[in-house]
Amino acid sequence: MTRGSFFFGLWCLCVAALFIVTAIFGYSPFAQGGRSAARAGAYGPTHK
Amino acid sequence: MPAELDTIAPPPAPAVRALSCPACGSAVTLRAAGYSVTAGCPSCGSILDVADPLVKLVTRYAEMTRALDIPLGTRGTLDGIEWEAIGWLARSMNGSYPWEEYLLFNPYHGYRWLIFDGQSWSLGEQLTATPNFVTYDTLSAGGRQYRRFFKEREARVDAVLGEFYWRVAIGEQVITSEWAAAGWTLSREANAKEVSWSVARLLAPREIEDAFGVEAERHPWPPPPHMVSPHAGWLSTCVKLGLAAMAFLVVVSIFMGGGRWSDIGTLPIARDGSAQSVTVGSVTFGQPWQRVELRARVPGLENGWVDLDYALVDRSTQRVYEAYGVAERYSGRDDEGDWSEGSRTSEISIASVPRGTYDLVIDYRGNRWIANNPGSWGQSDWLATSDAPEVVVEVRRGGVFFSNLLLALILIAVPLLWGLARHVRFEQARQAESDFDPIGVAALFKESE
Repeated sequence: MTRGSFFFGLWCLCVAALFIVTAIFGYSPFAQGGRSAARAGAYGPTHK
Repeated sequence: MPAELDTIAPPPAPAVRALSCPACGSAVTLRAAGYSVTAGCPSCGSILDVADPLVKLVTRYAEMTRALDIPLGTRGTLDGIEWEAIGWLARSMNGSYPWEEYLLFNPYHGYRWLIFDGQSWSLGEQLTATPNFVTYDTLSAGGRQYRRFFKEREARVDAVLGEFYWRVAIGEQVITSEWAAAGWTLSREANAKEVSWSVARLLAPREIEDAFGVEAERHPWPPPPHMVSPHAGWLSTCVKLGLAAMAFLVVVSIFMGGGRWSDIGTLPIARDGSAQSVTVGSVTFGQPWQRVELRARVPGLENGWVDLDYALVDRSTQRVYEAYGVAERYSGRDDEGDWSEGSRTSEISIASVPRGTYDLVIDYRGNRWIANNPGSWGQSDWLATSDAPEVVVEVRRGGVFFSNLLLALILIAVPLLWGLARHVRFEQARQAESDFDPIGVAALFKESE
């Protein structure tokens, strides 16, 4: 395994570890919680 | 010593013979006397016919005084065999694309060619058998398959020094064509008298430096025809690693999937569209931390929307986790026929909710969509026509966020795409030198002309 492959493996390991940690803590930067009434005033069909 | 050498008598070791150049009188040392038929004077560059006992002058080339990268007489070891550089040729395609060839000699292994294209070095060997055609563009030699790379071109000898096993003449021309494989080239040279085939192996910069002490370009550009993409190995290994990591994340996502939906309340919606508030619960979450998903279904919703403000209140700490959802659904008919958009269901997630017992406070309101031109929407008042407008609220302890999974997959894929882009760039540059259409990744991403 070359140094480049080793670093990529390490990168995958970090991403997987981060993913598991977020799964354990039920965290996501994209969760809707906390965005109260964000869409107020933007209702209606977009059909033209 | 190899076994065959025990039984087969080696050829007689060539004697070293000293001559005098008939052009300038300088001493000319013949290193493969008995094998070489021509030699170049190291002082004036004249070509001498050493097969003749009188050492006739073949070509006078006194103006040629060159400092060679590898001085003739230098010895170096390649593939475990010690070679001596005895001759040097400068060749070109009639003046363009110049390259150099050193003739190497070992009394037990014969001759080899050390070819320098200005950036990289290759070790060439003449074939004793004609290669076989595999397809119209592929030849097979020595168990290796070569794809065509250069069409037939005229190559010329521009300069010569040292000694050779044939009569070299400046200006001598042959028709050459070339095929390439990973790390190897196959060349055909033909003149009116004969056709010869040779293969050449690309030498690693370290290999040629260790053997003859000359430097080679670490990253030749454009790459030589037989250079293997330095990104191919990395890409091959890392694609496997990346796919394994991606599969692992998908399996983990499935394994950590969410629980079942629990119906926690069916809430009536006021027909007059007034705001309402209700507290449902309790809801208990047992994991230390979890994602909480809330789903609201409004079966009678049509041409309107329902706003939903959620507040998940921890009974013990009174900490509040808020979220907002909306279910909206529209339909109608226009010149193109029936249309609809939106959904009667709203799903939202709250991140990192700690273990505890919660009350869910829901502020909600049903709304009508009032179009500027009611006839064009074909809409009806869903709050009035629905038997009993209501919203069904469900909750579950969620699993993995899909957005997290997507982000992780992208993060793994980005270095692979970067490596692929570099590999494609390398292959495009390498194959751009060829006289034939590109193949493989270089062809996939070829810009249309």
